[in-house]
Amino acid sequence: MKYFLILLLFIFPLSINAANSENEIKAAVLGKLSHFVKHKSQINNDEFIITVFQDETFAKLLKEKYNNKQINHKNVLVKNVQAMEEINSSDLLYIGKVPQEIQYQLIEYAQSNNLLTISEESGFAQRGGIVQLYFVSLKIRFKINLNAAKKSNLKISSSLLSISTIVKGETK
Amino acid sequence: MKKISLSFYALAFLFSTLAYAEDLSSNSLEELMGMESEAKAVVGSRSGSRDFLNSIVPIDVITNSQIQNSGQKKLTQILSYFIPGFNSPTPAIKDGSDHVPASSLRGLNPDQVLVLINGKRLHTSALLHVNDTVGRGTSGANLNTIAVASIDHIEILRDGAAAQYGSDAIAGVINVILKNGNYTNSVSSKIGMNLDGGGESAQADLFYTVPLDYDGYLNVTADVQTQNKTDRAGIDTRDQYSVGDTGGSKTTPLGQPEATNYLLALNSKAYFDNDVALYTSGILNYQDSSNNAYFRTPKDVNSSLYPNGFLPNIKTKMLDYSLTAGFTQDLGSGSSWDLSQTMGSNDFHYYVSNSMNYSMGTASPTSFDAGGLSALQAVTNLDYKTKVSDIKVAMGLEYKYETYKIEAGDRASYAQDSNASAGSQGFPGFRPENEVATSRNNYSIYLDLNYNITPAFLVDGAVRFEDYSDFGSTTNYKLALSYKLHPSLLVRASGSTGFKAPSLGQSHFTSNSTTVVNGVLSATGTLSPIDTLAQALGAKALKAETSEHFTTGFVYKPVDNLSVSTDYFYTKIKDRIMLSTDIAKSAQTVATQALYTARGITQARYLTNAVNTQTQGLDLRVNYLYLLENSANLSFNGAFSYAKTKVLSFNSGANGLAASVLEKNRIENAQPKDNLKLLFNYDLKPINIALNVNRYGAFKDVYNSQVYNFDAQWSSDLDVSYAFTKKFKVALGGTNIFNSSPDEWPNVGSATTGSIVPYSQYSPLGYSGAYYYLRAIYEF
Repeated sequence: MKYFLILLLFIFPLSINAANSENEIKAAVLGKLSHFVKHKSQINNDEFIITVFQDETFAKLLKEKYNNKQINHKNVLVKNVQAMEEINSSDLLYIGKVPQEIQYQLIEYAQSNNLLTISEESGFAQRGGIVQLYFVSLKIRFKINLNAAKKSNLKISSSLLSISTIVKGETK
Repeated sequence: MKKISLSFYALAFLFSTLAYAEDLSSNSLEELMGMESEAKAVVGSRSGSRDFLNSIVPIDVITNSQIQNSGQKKLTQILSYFIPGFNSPTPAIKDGSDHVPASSLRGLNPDQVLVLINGKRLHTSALLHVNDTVGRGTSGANLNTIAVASIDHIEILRDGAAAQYGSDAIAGVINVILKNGNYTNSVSSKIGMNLDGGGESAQADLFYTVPLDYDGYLNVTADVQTQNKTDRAGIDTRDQYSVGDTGGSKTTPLGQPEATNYLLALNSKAYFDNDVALYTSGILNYQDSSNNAYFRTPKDVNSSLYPNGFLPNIKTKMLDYSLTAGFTQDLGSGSSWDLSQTMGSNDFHYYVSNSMNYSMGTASPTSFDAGGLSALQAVTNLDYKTKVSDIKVAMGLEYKYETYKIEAGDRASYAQDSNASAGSQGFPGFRPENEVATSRNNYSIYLDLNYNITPAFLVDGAVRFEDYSDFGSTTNYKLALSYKLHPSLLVRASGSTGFKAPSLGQSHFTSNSTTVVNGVLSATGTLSPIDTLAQALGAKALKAETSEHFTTGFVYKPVDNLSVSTDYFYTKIKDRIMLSTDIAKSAQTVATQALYTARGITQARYLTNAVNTQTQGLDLRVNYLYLLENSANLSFNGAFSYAKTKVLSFNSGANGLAASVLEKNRIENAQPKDNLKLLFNYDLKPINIALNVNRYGAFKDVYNSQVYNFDAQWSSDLDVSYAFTKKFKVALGGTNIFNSSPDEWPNVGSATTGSIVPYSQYSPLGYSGAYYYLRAIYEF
């Protein structure tokens, strides 16, 4: 039996991945998603700014993962903010767990400032968020609100749309 | 030389994992979408879900993809497949226990495991196991009432948790989480049969989800299962027509019952303004199941009604449901409240056919309604979570109301119209004097605090007070600590107290049954502990079992794809409730004998707080995963469990139990002490191969006060699936594919044990042998 186990362990060419935490996968996905989203209006930041609203743990992980990394050929800056006034200019706004009322306000702010909004909160895409992350059988999936993307002047590539669920936003 | 070789390979293996460690940013989006994240569990702490490396207490999670790849369609089979130490034997010719087999964790009793659905307590079965099976004298939750297609994942807490969840959480907690709205609709079907004949089964299920606003959902799952009997009996050596005429043929089938099950499951969540959500979940199971009792020989029958003898058939009809509805609101900043109501019920009814009541002679009917049992549980919960400074606080109130009822059968099922044996042969009906309708309620209040003293040092403390209307109050405590010595190494320890309230069934069940002892039929009365005869024999009203727990261990995750955990545990249980030995009428005083006579029995038994035990052992888990080219992967999960239970002492009122080799063995040796599982899953899209190699440790059984050893048993399960499209998959598979059989009884000189019944009824793998199946699933 022991030789059988050893054989199984070595019989396959190894390359490692998996059993990462949800946050680690989400962190990696944020950078990838940015490749599939184009701003129709140019953002003139020298850096690719990811702003995390309120989720300190996730912001800390993003800082660690994107240290000395680039997205869209720009160095990545991760900011963690607690209030809307601190958001300023960003390429991507990740919204953590906040009350619905605050979520609506953030979505409205992001649309008026052409920000790509991403969150994992239930109903986020339907409320006007652009990309909603969720997990099925531990695998990450996306819901995308195309109307919200248009409102934010963002163009989402068809290849991302083909692997996502398209959500109609609420008519408010 | 061999040792050197093994060490070399082990080192090479470890370094190979370290050498290949990488960060995820180099993966494409498609590769990231193909990865499974670390499973998280909410059970064990009320402060939120935690993954493997951060879990303050030992937890196993069975994921949805693991459930699917296993090919198993019953919850007890899934738990047996993945969880070492989960024991679910399948006894036969044990009356009701054939139809709702007892299952247990860590060699303890079925009622020492708390089962939750979506975090809410599941009621226990009305059936009290009273025959010679694992879990004798207990009523556990019936896990197979939950449709597997409705399940998202299963969390198993391997620690005492009465301070968090109340009664029963002694060996652990099983929390079944139902699918949310992110799953697609599906239909699936499975057909199969046993290699050695019988056991033909067919199963079909439908999962359908209706999306509601803001990611709300309404999920409905329907599941239909049928299975035929298996027969692994030996020959009947009893005298058939006359003395010396032993027949020498099979008369009594022995195996799994013939059963049809209809299951429904519901899970929904609707979101409203102000972060308020309404949730519901429910299960429904109707089971129609039948199995035989021992063949009644023509010589014993001696009636023109059955000149060639007869094989009594015991049919049970079970209706089980549980429904939860509740509101919850997220108040922001880590605060939320949750108000819910759960109502669960189990109704279990017996029918006997192809039988007769000897005392009625030829006037006896051949079919009987033997009466039934029912139990109801209603639980109201109010939970509140908040954050005070950096301390996560959870508190709550619970009100629980329970009822228990025994309904008598028709008159012929229990009548004694002459001096011959009373009642329907195979299973005598409940008598009017058995009828009971009783209830109780209890209130509880709990507080759970969770605090990171430093980012690496976590403390969780809980206290819970309970007051039961029948046996009084109890307060239980828990303290759990974890410390991250390194980002990849967590050490943890917990200590707690716990309890298990005596069930209403344990306190109020009474019955008469017919058993075969050394080839002779005898009438045994199971009495309530407050029955006059029971009290005359030394019984007292039942009190709660109490427990103390200690667990310590570590989790090591050197690289993303490898994790190892080891936990030592110790559980001491005081006043464990047991069914007494059968106390013979002949050994009693004349006055007491009269009480026996009045009940029409020759032996009496009752439930009693009999014994004090300790259980200690070790759990080991190793998880490893390779990602191959083209998103293929090979995962390995190794799991080992060792649990040894020792009787510390018997209480003074444990009438006859202290001297009973059988009863002591049932506690200490009837369940395997060790269990190993080696699970491999090779996902080679579109092919998936799941292989599970099991080793069930040795166990012991007793006949006529003599202990017999039954060796460890290996078995392998295999499921090979092929996805023809992304939505349609077909699989071929089998359980116990090499048709391994447990040891048989030696010749013990019995007409039943070792003859009609060649196998021990404790056998953890059963004895029906290899089962092969074909299954298909279509998503739409």
